[in-house]
Amino acid sequence: MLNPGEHYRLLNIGRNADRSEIKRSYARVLKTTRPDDDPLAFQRLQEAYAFCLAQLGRETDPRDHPAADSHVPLTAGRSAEQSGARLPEEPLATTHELSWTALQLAPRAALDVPGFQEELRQRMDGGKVSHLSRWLYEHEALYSIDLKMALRPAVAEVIARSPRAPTEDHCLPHVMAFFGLDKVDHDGLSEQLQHILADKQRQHAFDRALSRLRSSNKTWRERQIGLELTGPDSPQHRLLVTLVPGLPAQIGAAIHQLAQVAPNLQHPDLNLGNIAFWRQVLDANRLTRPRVVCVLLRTTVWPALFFGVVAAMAAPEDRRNVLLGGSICIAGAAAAWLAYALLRIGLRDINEKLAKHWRISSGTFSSLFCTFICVGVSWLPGLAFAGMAGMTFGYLRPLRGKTERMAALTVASVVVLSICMCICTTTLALELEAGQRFALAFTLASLPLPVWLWMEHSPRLARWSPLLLPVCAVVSLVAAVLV
Amino acid sequence: MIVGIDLGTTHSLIGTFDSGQARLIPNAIGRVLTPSVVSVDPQLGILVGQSAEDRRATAPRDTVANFKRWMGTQRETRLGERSFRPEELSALVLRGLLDDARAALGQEVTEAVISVPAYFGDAQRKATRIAGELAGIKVERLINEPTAAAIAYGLQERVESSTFMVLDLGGGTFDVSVLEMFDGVIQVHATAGDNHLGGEDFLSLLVDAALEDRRIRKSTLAQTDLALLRKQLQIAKHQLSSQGQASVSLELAGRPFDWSIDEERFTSLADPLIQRLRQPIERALRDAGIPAQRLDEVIVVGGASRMPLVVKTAARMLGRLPLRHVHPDEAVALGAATVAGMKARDQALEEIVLTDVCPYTLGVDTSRVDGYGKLTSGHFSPIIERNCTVPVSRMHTYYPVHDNVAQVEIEVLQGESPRSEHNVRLGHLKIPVRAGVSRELNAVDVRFTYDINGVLQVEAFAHGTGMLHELIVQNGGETLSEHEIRERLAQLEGLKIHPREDQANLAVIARLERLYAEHLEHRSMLQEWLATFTGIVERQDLQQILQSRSELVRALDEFEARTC
Repeated sequence: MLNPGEHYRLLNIGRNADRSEIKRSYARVLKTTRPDDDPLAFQRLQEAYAFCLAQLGRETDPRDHPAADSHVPLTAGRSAEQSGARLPEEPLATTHELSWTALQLAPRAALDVPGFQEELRQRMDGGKVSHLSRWLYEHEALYSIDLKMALRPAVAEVIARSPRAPTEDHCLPHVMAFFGLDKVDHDGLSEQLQHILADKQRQHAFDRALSRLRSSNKTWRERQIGLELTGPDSPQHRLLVTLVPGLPAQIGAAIHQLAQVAPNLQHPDLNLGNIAFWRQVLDANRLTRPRVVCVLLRTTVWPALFFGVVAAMAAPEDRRNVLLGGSICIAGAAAAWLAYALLRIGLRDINEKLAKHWRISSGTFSSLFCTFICVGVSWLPGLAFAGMAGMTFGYLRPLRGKTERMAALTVASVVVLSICMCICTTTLALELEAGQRFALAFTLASLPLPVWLWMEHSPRLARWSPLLLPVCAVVSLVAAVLV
Repeated sequence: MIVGIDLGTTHSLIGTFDSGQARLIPNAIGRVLTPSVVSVDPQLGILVGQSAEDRRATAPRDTVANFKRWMGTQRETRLGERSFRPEELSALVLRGLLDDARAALGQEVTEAVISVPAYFGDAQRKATRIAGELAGIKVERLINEPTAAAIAYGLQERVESSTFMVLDLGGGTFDVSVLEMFDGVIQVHATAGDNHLGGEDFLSLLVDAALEDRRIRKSTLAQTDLALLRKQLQIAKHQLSSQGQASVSLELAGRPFDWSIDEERFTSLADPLIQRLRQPIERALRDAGIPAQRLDEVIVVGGASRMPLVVKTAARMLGRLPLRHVHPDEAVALGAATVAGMKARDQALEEIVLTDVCPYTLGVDTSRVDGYGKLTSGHFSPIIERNCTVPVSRMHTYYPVHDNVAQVEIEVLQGESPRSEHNVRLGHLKIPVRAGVSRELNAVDVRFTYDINGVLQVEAFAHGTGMLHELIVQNGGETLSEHEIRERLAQLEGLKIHPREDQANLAVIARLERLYAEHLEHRSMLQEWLATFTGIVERQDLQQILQSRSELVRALDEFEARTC
């Protein structure tokens, strides 16, 4: 890129040369630097010529001047008078074979631009493509190229202001093709329009997704989701959402849907604070405060209610046992979940480090490696459960006599629990989402076994015991699946 | 010796530049226009030109025309025992023209400047060059047809300083160019066109309308009948232009067929084609950045521009009457001959410099992140905008979409749509980049260089590896490779092409045969003439042949004037 002075020097002219001087000297220099002979020198000459003409302030060819900014801003508030154009009058040049009268052409008046814009808008809203096309092609005034070109910004304005979504407007492609607004052009108007239309399309999709959330005649659940995403910050509402089974996951799905349409979720109606909060709660890869608080809350509240009911129904002397057993169960579940979360994050970090330093992509090798770690490590939680179960058993021991059955049941529960932990961590390493959930659910479902063991013991609750295991399993499953 | 050739859809011409003037070379029959038609006869061999044109009516299955429209494609036409590619058919026409030049100038032609529609794409230009190679000459320079016409106009009228537009509506293509002439500089500002719009399309309209009016289905007609009808309507089309109405009368499938048409009906029939004329004219003006008012002149060339409808439409659009200073059929060839003279550095043309433009936008396929943060692919990023003065070289820097990539693929595209899928793929380049680093470190500078002969060179410099990669765009698969060209050249030379000396006789015989097929009333007379003339030719007395031929031609001209 030459500096300004060099352009003038190349053409051998002064800075205040007028148009004819510039052209003359260009012609002169061109004779010696022909495009066939010296392409590079010719290009430099061409740039210099374009530059010097541009400096005169007249419109020139922006394509010969790569650095020139040839964008014409699409001002929405363009006044109608500015874009009015006159048609050329009858030419003064003499004709050779045909005369104006022979061709039956009549001189035309200037076009009323706002009127034209209004008619165009009406026809586009009317939606009849063939009528619109015919009107455009038969419009006498639009035959004149100068007028048609002068109307382009006005037409772009009509298109930009249309309330319809671009993909639903069937007239749009025809209007754009007619005025050349669909092709790359050197005045930048069609590119600007493309951006405006792309933004509009996105806006429409976004609004549609959002309106589904906000419509009032929906189920209670959807109303809550809508309230959470678009309503004000409210800790009570967050508490409510946390405790309702399945609702946080649904909120997560809604956020995901919106993010598909517009990844940065910029909308005046959306509560970004809430969205960030729920994203943190549902992000399984990081152990953030909201997530820990919500999950522990869930894992605690429902089972606590359940055990509370059981304790209320139990005999006063058993109440303490039930409550104790219940708290151990809850603590176990919470601990299991924390262990699972930490393990998952830890394994992901290991995977990433392996991928980075050893250039191994997360795939078979790292998964197998991790699986070995998991199988080895998973015995630890298994043993923890064994300990807890043993403690329970030990506590229960003096209360019951059927030792063999108890022993068998305890051992069985320990084995089951350990296997479940293995499965859980293996599927974690292999990144199988559904498997993780199932494994965890199964794990937690086995937790109430000790509770059931108490039930067996207590005479008052003995007749309820056949029902209670399934109920416990269901409760734990629910708590697990929500995570 | 370098010549200029107008290789048109319906007619071709050849000319040279000497003694300060462009001159067209007549063919064996004495005309400067040679029909671009090829025909095969089992005994006579390959026929090119007027004799082939007449055989369109008598032997339509062995004759082919309008093959310029198939240039750049792989379409094969079967004539006789062999199938021909469009480049080969064009090469046969070129050979015929070169024979005429050799006979007229007495020396060999080694190089030619061939005219192409300004809007011909990369593949079509390559095919034209290959046709030249197959005809045995070097074709370095291709000149755009409207530019050639402009040169012919400028030199003829001794234009000093003018900004004007050239509208070239030929047999098969429509081109528009906006040019400026000053101080011996001929500068093209912008060019646009439609490669599938020409006189032949208007003719097809008439054929369809005539058949529809008389409720005849095209599929039921024999090829000879259809060819006859087409030929007659061709004459009718010319009549329409000059007289405002026309009629045809002939025998189709044994039954009389009469039909007439006036200018008004033709205007309404031709409306869809006329609408297609508008877009390139608008585009060329817009790209030139000049309002129609500022044009000093509008010139029309090309056979089909004789239609008043075309002139009227142009007048409505441009607010001025187009003029026809130069001969519409000869302008392009005269211009091509002048450019041949420029290439040969003829003294008389020393003061003139020609600059032309690249008709298409050239760029690459990219992905982009939009205002909402979404990554979308399929965006066309232009590097050389259309109507840039050539030769031109432009560069643009691109980054890979993701981090940690092993290579970047650059897809070279030609076209005007902002979506890559609607543009034409010219080729691609695979650039290995530095692995395992973020995308900012892997910038690739892509440089497009488009030279004056229309050859695109792509260079890509990868900052990550520091290596430069080059690609000279070969339209993959569609055009012939070097090896294939040599093969076909050898094959063509082995074909039996009818010698030039007999051309004139053949043309007369073919004309007689066509008239015989067209007219039912005077058949016995025509047959007698045919027998007499064939006998004289067989006797090989040159003096007698010449004399009887000129008499016969005179008689046939009278006959055709009387009966049509």
